[in-house]
Amino acid sequence: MDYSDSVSKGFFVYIPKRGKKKEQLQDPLSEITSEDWYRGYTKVWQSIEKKLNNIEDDAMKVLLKDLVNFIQKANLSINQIPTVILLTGVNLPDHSVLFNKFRDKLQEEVTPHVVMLSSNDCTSIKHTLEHITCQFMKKSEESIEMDIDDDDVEVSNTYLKKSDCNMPSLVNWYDNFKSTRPRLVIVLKDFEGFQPAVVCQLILILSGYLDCLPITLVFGVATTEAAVGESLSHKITSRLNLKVFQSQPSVYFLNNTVDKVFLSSACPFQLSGKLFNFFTSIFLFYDFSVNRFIHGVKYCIMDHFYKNKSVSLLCQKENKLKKNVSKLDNDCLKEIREIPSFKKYIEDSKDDKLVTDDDYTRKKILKLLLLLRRTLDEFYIGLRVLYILVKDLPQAPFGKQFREVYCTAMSKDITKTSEFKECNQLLKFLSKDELESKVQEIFNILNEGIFSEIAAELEKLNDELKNIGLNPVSNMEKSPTKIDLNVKNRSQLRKKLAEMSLKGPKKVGYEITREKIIDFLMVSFLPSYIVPYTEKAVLWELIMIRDKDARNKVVPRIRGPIHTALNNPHHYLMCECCKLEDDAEIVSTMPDICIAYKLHLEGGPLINLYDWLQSFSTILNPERSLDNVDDIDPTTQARFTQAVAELEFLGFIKSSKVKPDHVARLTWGTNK
Amino acid sequence: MENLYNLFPCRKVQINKIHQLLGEEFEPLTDVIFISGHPAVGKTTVIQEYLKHYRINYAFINCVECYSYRLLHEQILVQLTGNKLKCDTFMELIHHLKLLVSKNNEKFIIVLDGAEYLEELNANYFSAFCRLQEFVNCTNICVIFLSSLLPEKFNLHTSVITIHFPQYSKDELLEILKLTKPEDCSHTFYENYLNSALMIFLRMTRDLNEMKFLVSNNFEKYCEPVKKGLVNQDDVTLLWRNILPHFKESLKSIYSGLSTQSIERYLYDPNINEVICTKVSSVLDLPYYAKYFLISAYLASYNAPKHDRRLFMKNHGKQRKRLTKQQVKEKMTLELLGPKAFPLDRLLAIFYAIMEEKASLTVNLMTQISTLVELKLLTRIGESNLERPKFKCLVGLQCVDTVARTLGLNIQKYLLD
Repeated sequence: MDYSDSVSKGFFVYIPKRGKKKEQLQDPLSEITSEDWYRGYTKVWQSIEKKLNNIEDDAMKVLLKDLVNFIQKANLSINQIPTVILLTGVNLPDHSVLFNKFRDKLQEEVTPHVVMLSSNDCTSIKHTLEHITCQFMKKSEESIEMDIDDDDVEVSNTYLKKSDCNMPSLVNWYDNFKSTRPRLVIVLKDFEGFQPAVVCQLILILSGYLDCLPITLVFGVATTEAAVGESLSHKITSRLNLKVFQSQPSVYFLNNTVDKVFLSSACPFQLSGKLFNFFTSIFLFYDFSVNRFIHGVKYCIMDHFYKNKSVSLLCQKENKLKKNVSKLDNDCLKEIREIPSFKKYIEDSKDDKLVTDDDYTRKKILKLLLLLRRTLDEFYIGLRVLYILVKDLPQAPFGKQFREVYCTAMSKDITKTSEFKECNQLLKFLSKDELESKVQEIFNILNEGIFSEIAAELEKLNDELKNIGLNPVSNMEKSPTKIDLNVKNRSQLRKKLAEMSLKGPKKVGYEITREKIIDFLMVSFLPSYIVPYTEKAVLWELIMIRDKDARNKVVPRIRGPIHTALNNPHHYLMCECCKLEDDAEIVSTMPDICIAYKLHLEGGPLINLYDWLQSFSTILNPERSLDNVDDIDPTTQARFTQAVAELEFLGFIKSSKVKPDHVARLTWGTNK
Repeated sequence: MENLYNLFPCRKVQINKIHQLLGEEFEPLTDVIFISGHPAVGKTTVIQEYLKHYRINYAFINCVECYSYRLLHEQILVQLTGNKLKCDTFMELIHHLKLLVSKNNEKFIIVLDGAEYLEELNANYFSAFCRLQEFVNCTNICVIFLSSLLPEKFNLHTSVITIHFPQYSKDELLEILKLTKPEDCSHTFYENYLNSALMIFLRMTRDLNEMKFLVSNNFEKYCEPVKKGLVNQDDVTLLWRNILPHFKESLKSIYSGLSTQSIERYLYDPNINEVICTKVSSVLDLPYYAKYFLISAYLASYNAPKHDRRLFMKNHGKQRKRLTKQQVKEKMTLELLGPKAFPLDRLLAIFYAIMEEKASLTVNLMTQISTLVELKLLTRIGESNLERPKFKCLVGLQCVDTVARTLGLNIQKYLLD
């Protein structure tokens, strides 16, 4: 047999070494990363990111500490696996952050042996056990590597044979640590995603090894603790020693992030009220995900920086402004002169130098920007003061969160609203304790900031408030005097009573001071600072992000873009030939599918294919006489057939069983 | 032998029986022993301790772990011979076992715990192990099956010797639990405690492990008044009155496995740090639209489509009188029949009908549905049907009702009753 030769010929795969290849590859993004706007953007974003990380750490600190404590102290002597149910909330995209922090903390403080499982990897008990043992044993071989990417797991599989990944070998492996007996922690990140049968078997198996392996389980539960009870039978749960921990509600994380990072004058850029409102409503209405919120904001910042070159230089922290202003070139200055608020400023000041003299303009810009920063500082302090005053008023006219106050204040002059008046009135009913604590809080804020004069004035009033308690005002001691009711008839009495009620009881000492304080804060201090700075400040466009397109980009629509593309291909293709004057117009130069689509919009729920073809061909050849309708160019027919097939693929039509020569429309109306 | 009796106070009969079967030297072993009994009645520990005590060669396999043949075979061989041998098929196993028994004259026991899982591996394995003696051709080898199922459930020959481990009676439990007595308290005091504890807990569980947990958990509280000097150690009635509320508290948690005291809700302390949001709720916390989706899914599952028009449209015409008669029947069936499948279109239609404001249909809105599926609040029926996906609601009225209440929505308004 001659053929047998071929057996010796084989294909030999040479796997190129990975390291070299990586070096040769150029970073495809290098073109972008070297641009000015990108550098400016990264600087800003890095500072924000740093703050975000700190805040996340703070928010999770307590929870993580509790968890680690429990795992450290968990009792292994009773025949049950210590198990943590960690209620993480439904914000699924945020979980990885939490779990990564949890793992790092555990590895730092309790044990290096932590396994993270996600339901995708664990479709059967075999896979689950393989994953667990593989991750445990791999860790010890490669010393401890802090970040496990998915790649790493695959790589490690080459060291460890899959068939060796089973419980007996894990027990053998654990014998190495006999002296220290570190704990083994297995984390099931998304408990709901696991098949109950797999979890049951896993628990049964693990509980069999409890005497030789000190295992602790952690279930990440997104809904409620009832989910565990529902998917595991009593037989299984009796083998677990369950303890529930709950992380903060995700709204808390949002408020925290927003208050401390974005809504402060230290943040180099500002979000407009509308945009901010839009992002928070996405958060509250859709996903509870802080991650997504941050990514949305990140996108907008990037866009903002990308569009104007001058932004990347000027939308920075104060200490960098001076250097950056000198870097402004002619293009930038031209750009800045086009900014509406600056234009208006030039017109108002009638300073011709601003148009002609570049150096002068640069200096002016710096001055204006510093002024803007100062305005911002004042605005935020004013807003904080207002927030302290109104946050716990009955029915919270401005909402209970700082972000809500911010949204209102950015959209309109808050002092002219009816809510502001309502607050003013409600504040005059405050009890002394409440007022004192509020004044103290306000005092703290003012002292930190730039309002030292106002703080001093407030302190005076505060002292007055404190002294009231000590020296009760004299008229309090007066016993109610007899009223001389010298009247002859009923109508006179009524008149007199009405007069007396108008006078009202005399104001007590505390009430007078209270009114003084409230008036001082609400009438003389706040109104000048908390008006939207977009109205009076100049150059605010540079630091304010108010992208209207963000809506479509951050929350993509489903049907709108497809409809636009098919209805008006010019919108995307930007070709001259398909320009439409009227939306309903059909032009023969449009792609076939667009023609077919626009024709089908005119039809009813059932469309006759033949009629459709006729109109299709009429559009392609308008000169075609209508007398001999039967002869249709085969090319046209083929094009039509293809267009219909494409529409069917896109899900707009479907062949109908009722009438074979008709198709059914699947969409109703147009969604724009 | 005495040692064993002391270790397992109420298992004397069973231990004797095992001893009769396995303990005699130079006697051929029976081929199969089947041990049955509920969980946590000592099947596994008794047999393991017995075999260890008499130094009989044995392999102990928990069948739950054996998701592959190889795991099962190799574990048996490792434990019997001490060498790691590669063994993929049953024939190889028999070959190795034959070699093993031909070399020495000792007894070899294979204990298969959780025998019901063996059937999952392969339906024939159970009967194959039943006839292991025949295959290996030696009477020195014996297979012991342990299972919480009755022997009748297995494809078992009638001649197989079965040993049943009955559930512990109250007195027996008392006897066993006495072993857990802490050192620093008197016999009678602890016995009194156990008596009162068993009186309450016995109705709920006979699982020894759980009982141990409950008993040890509550003992501290029982002792508390004595330690404080409030109650005399012998005053059983007063102690009973003291402990009863705690017992009742732990009873609630038996089935969920979550003891109420152990639920440590992580509350933010306002004094330590700045508080921005203090509300911690234990109800299902979902995003706004997801809540509406869940409610509409429930409504779609428990209302028949023919009533949709009446329930969700403003001008649905007059209600006919005949309907009232039918409703009586309906009420019985709607909840009892369980959720019905509904197409996506209907879900969206109801969603828009019960929502007051407009929400444009975006990708984000659609992902809400898949999030709910992922959280197992809804389930998708028929994965293959891409064109018209169908769903079912998996949560009950109570859950949906609380969710609806957070939105200020009265769900009863949309249910036929």
